[in-house]
Amino acid sequence: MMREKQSLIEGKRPIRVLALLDSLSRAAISPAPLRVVHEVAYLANVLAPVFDLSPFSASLLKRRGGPYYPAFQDSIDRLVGRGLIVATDLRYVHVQEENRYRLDAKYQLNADLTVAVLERYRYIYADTPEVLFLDELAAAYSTLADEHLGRAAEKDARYAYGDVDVNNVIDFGEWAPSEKVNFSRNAALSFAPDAGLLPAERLYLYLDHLRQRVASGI
Amino acid sequence: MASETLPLGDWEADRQSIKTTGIPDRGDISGLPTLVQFQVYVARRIRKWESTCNVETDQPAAFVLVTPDEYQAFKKAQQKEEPLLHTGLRRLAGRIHFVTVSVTRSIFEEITGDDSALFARLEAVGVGRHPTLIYVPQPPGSLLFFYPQGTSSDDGLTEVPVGVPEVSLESIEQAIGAVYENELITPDNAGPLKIWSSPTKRRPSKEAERGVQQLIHAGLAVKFAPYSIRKEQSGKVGRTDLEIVDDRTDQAGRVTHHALLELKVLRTRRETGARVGDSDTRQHITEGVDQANVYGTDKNSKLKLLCCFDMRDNDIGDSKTFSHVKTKAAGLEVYLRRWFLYHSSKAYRAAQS
Repeated sequence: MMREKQSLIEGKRPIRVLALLDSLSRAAISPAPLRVVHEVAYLANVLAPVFDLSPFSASLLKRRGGPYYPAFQDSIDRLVGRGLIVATDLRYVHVQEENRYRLDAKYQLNADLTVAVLERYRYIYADTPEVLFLDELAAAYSTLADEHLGRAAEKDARYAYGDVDVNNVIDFGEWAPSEKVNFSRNAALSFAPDAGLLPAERLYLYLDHLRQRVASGI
Repeated sequence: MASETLPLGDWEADRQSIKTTGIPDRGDISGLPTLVQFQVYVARRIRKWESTCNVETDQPAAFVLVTPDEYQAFKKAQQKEEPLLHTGLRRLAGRIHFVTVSVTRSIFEEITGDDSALFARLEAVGVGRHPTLIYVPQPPGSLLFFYPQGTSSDDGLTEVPVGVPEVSLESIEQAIGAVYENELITPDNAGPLKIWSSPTKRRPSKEAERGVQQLIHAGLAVKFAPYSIRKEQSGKVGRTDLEIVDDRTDQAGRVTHHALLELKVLRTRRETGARVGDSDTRQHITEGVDQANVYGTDKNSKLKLLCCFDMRDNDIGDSKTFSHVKTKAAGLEVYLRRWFLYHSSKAYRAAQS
């Protein structure tokens, strides 16, 4: 059962990558730097429960340089290879904790090859909150100042919390119950508890609070 | 686990400010059509910006809705980007803003001169056929005009309220009336939403109420852009259809429930073709009056409305439709309103002649 679920997730990962880049592009963030793509992928995981969605992945290795998903990057690389994603500004960056260099780039969709795919995706998923969630998350994320894009997770309620050190795994629902360990979800659900807020409003409040914390450096 | 006991990790020290935060000015219209979001978000940006500037001295501005690819092309062309458009604290007047649907950032260019120079520039840049909002700052009330087909054409031109609009029976009727005229009056106008299952067989869709609700929601969202149009809010007495609530123009925590709208679709037959009897329809209307009253009273709404969208074979008029609930509704202060949906353009034309 676990293996089947894992296989489903892996099968869906390429479209998830395209959908994420599409939502970012609709929010005027394109091309999106690698750090941004992984940071938004992380936020999409921790904040998915706000929309009653399951996270794509509910655990992550904590890194000094912010969220990074090797399997997600592998999908991006393959999609670059197939021409669906265009990579620009390629360069090598040093990854301190791994003591090695990693390829860094900015990514954008190749519209010619992805328009039909994404239209189909949006049509198929129209009855679920997934498309709406990614669009609203990207729009909320785009309210961060340019210099904070890709650098906001270090102030995120879950990522920043000191119960997990760098090079250890953050669990936000993989093993322990989400409400006990996914502090990002909890914070988003704690805004104005009596106001009857919609899930998308909670995303904006979450990202706004994150923006304030990043801007003030606290 | 109640929200006050949920652990907040690194944000634990912020618990109080998180709890007492105000309502955001985004996110409440997610899922509504792109053009609706565009109008509402621009109107809200302008309202916020006007609270910090002197509109008397300002020039007009344009907001042009572009695709993500076009946005990128403008960016590549070395035009300036305003990443803080969403704050409402950046200058809006005297500029053409190219925005995507999120209206959080813009590519902009400065403009000088009057309205005609602005329109000429939009043509010159090649966006004369893009959905555009023209902002004319002026005291005591600025104007915002929506050109759905772009500024090359006046087709569908409407005004979008910038200030805090009055919510009255008349203004609600106007908003619903506009949706009715543009989208509901005949099946030809309904767009992608399926209000009719088979208009030729005069069968409304089983999802007709949901479709009508979505269209009315969109219409109210633009007309009352500074407010929230809350739909399907659960309460102790049930689930409301639509509510016009001001929870964002006053100080945090102060909420005015302007109006509660209960929506009902009246049918002669169901999607399957099965007939709906007159007594069932009368009962449906009576329930609508009761729901509007109970939900509206529970929410402390200033106005309570039962809005009926009449998809029956024949238009029997308001007085006959509501005769059995007229006295009751008056006593409960529930306003009764009805719009008749024609099953074809031909039927509509025949009714007009």
